[in-house]
Amino acid sequence: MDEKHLLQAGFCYGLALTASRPDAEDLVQEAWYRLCRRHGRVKNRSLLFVAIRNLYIDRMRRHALVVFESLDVANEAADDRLDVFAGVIAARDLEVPLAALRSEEREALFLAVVEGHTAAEIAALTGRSRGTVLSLIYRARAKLRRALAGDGAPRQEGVGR
Amino acid sequence: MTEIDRLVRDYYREAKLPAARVDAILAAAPRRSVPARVWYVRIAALAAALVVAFASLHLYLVGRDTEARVLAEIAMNHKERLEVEVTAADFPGLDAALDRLAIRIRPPASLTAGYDLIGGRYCSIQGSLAAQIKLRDPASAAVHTLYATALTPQLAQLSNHTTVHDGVRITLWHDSEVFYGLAADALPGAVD
Repeated sequence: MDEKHLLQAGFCYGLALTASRPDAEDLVQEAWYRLCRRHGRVKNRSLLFVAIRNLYIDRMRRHALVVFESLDVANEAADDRLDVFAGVIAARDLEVPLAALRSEEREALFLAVVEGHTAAEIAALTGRSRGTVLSLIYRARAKLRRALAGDGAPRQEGVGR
Repeated sequence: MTEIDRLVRDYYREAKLPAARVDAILAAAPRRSVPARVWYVRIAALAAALVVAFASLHLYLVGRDTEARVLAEIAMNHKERLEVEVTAADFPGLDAALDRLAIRIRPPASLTAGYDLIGGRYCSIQGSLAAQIKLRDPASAAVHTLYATALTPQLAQLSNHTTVHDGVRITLWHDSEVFYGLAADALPGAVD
């Protein structure tokens, strides 16, 4: 993968974490520079993702924006109304519902759906248990379904912007 | 893949960092900088290597200088052919006569040739009191001079070897206590 594709992949991951394009740009730029200073160049995707994630966590800690939310509703029933909007809603319509998700949910969903990682791989990447990852993905999908089905965007939570 | 997943995937695939921003980031990416601590380690290692190199060179030059001065001293004493001050039939007698030396005069173990002892006198090697002992080779009747003095750290640095200096063939060696030099006229044609 060339450097431009690496940067784009990093930007998407940053967007999954921050739900903000300007913040994602800043994040991927700073992570890229850090890796260049340390290793001379950005060697691979996983290294870039780890750098972006660490940088994001540092920033969140600095601004004390991390909000914890109980996962006790992880087993809520799936909403079966989800496929009714197939072909009607465009991807760009997801911006607001995605931004309303918690960053952990967006990250888990991004890594699963866009990057194609398994729950076990995401658990290893993010330092969470596999069960927690599955819950995050489930909740993210459920919130998006509700928002897109007309129940309105999910309530703004966590660090989403 | 569910419809939600497809939408999410498409959303992120459509999200692009502007090309100008990509180019700007790549153009401004810093080159690898070596941490200051690494430079300190490198400089310290270089300094240590230089110290070792200079110390080794100094010891080598001092040793070579000492060897040259010892060889010159022995060659000069040998060529002056001064008479012995004490005649002795054996080494115990010579040792008893030259009693100001810090060492006991005895035939060195490494001197295997059967020389006849003529006698000896005091001399100095590098400022230390030494014995100049005259020996005759019964086979050729040639007179050799043996020098013996207490082993000093400076003399201990000299290697055991034989060389020709100023027309004199000189063998240097030492044991744990005594430094020896055996001088004989070099054969014609021998070079320094």
